[in-house]
Formats: sequence, structure tokens, C-alpha cells
Amino acid sequence: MLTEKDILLIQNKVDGTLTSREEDRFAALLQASPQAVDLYRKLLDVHQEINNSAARIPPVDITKRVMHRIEGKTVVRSKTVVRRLFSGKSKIYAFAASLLLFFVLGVLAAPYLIPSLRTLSQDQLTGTMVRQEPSSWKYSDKKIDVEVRQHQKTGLLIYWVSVFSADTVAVEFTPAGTFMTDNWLKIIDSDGMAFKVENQDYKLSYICKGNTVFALTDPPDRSTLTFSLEGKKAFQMKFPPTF
Amino acid sequence: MIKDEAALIRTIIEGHTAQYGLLVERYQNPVFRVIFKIVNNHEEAMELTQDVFVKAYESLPQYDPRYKFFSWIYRMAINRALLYLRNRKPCVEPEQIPAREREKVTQEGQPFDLVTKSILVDRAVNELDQKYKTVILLKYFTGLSYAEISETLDLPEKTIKSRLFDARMLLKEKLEKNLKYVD
Repeated sequence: MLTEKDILLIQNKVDGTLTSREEDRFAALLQASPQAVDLYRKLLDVHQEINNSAARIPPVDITKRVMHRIEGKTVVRSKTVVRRLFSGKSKIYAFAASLLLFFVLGVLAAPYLIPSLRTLSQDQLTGTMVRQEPSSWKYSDKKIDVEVRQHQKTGLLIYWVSVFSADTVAVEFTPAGTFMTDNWLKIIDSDGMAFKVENQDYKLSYICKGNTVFALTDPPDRSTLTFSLEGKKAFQMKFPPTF
Repeated sequence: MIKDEAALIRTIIEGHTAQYGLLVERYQNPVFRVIFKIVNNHEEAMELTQDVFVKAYESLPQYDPRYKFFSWIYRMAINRALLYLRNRKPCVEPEQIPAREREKVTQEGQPFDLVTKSILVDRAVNELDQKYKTVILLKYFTGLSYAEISETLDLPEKTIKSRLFDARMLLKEKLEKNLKYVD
């Protein structure tokens, strides 16, 4: 007759959690008890059958869909706040505040949204400070390689940012002193996973894996581009970069 | 591998939403497998898995960091799938759903016996009482240890071991009845 301890020993053997001392006890038990042998075979059979069943479920990848839905949720929340603002007694004040806000933002954003305006003022102020030759910058550690090349084309400063990592990298662009537009940072090419996950007023975020090339166009001074792995910042780049 | 999930979750709550993709990547397959084994439908399991991760994201501010993230998300997944199953309209015979769906997850070119065996094993697991089925799902489809299953279900480890033993014996009995026609 098998005791509760014997059964536990057999079950632990099936699960592969025996210590070397318990392995000896298990071997002795099998020698002494045909019942133990029978129970061990039964449990092992079931264990293998279910393991096989679990292995037959193919892997799925829903990361992109989930991140897209989360992005949608953020937008819904913003709309709810706006709807509250524009209801009841605060309606008139909210409307006036919005007009003022749009005016201020418009004035602030104009040099960044209209490239010709910005180039003109920059040329007058900085003269030969913008380099004619492409400049490059590299960052590399065990887990991530980043190469940044700067080009000047038709009055625009463009940075080609090539990222490679076998792990998932979060890339966040935070502009300084202005509001966000989609045009700052774009994915140009990728041989792995790359998608935008967030586009809020203060930052633009992407997730990528494998080789990914981004184009960063005319980032405002003091903007930052942050690369994170496993939730920790790998490094941060400030603009204009020091080559 | 994500080394410090608590720190990662803090980062996400602080507004770095993109980091949530790391948690989804890590747990999507075990969560999907558990849900799939409960609802027995590939498309529904895909939808429910997404729902669970979106819901988890929305609930992150309420997440208690004293517990492991996996126990939280697996518990959420099991509850969501069971609730869905309770509310699902029985427009199709339950026996038909697993058979149809299994075709999608069974690799082509497998010998007939192997496919049949797989179907019978799945059926035997599905027929288990929920308390046994949950332990089997967490043990085999997420790869949790006894201690981790104990944390997830908030039950003593001894109870988990006992339930797993009973579940295995019940499965063996069911399989012996059915598999003799296959082997």
C-alpha cells in the first residue's frame, strides 16, 4: 500500500522536482513496490500526453493589436475630458480658453510647422554652424546598436536613425517647447517588428525589434530621443547632437 | 527577459505606455493558451486575450506590486474566459467546437492516430471539473511551478499538489477508456 509520502514522491518525480536524495528514495521505492511502478507509469503517461497537447498550440502575436487598442483608449479618455469641459456652465469659458490656446499654440508652432520660416531664421542666426557633410554618431552595447546620420536637404535637417536589437526596444521622441505632430519621427524600414504605439501631446513612441530605420525631421532644439530596453533607459540623445 | 517587472509597471503607470508591449510580448502566449483551452475557439481566444491585456493595462494603477504580475494576469484571464463561456449562447453543440477548432491548431501532416490522440486528450481535459481543469491549465499551459500556481489561485501549495494528482488520475482513467481504440 502506497503512503501519502510515496505518492508525493512519485508525483514530484514526474514533475522533475526531486533532489538527489529524493531520487535515491524514489529508486528504492520502485524496487520495492510494483504499485509504485504502476502509479509512476500512469502519471508519466498523462504528463506526456498533456505536454504534447500544450505543445501543439501554435504561438500568437497580439502585441501590435493590444498596443493599438490601448492607444485608442487614450484618445477616448481625452475626448471624455473635452466633452465634460464643453458642457454646462463652463461651456463659454472653455470655448474662450480653447480659442486662446489655439492662438498661442499656433504662434509657437509656426516656425516648426513651416520649414521655410525656420530655415530662414536659423540661417540668419547660425550662419555656417550647420554642417554640409553628413555626420554620424554611434551607440553600441551588448544589446543594442544605434547609428545616427545627419543630413541637410532642402532646408531641412534630417536624421536617419538605424536601430538594431534582438530584444524589443522602446523608442520615444519628446519635442521641447512645442506640441507633437506625426511628422517628427517616422519608420522608414524594418526587417523585424516596428510600430507606433503612442502619439500624445508630449511624446511619440515606437516599439521595434530587429533592424529598424527611422527618419527624424527637424527636431526642435532640446528635444530628446530615448531608447529603452526591458523598461530601463539604454541611452538618451539630445538635439542638436554633439558629433 | 524582463528582470524587474515591478519597476517596469511603475514606468508604464508614469506614462511610458510603450513599455507595456514588453509585458504583452512576454505573457501573450501562456495567456492565450489558457484562454484557448477554456473557450476552445481560436478566434474567440485571440479576442479575449486582447481584452485581458487591455483590461489589465487599464487596471494597472490598482495592481498590487506585492503579488507577481503573472498571477494577476492569469487570474484575470481565467475569470474572463469562464465568464465568457457562461454568457456564450449555445448556438453550436459544445462537442463540435473543439473538433473544428482543433483542426486549426493541429499541424498538417501528422499521422491520423496522433491527431485523434490529441483530440481525445483535449476532450478529457475539457471534461474535468473546473477546479481540476484550472490547475492542469496553469501547470501545463503556462508552465507555472506549484508555488506560483498556489499564488495565482490563492490556495495552499498542498491543495494544488493534491488537486493535480486527482486531476491526473481522472485524466488517466478517461484516456485509458478512449485511447485503447487509437494505440
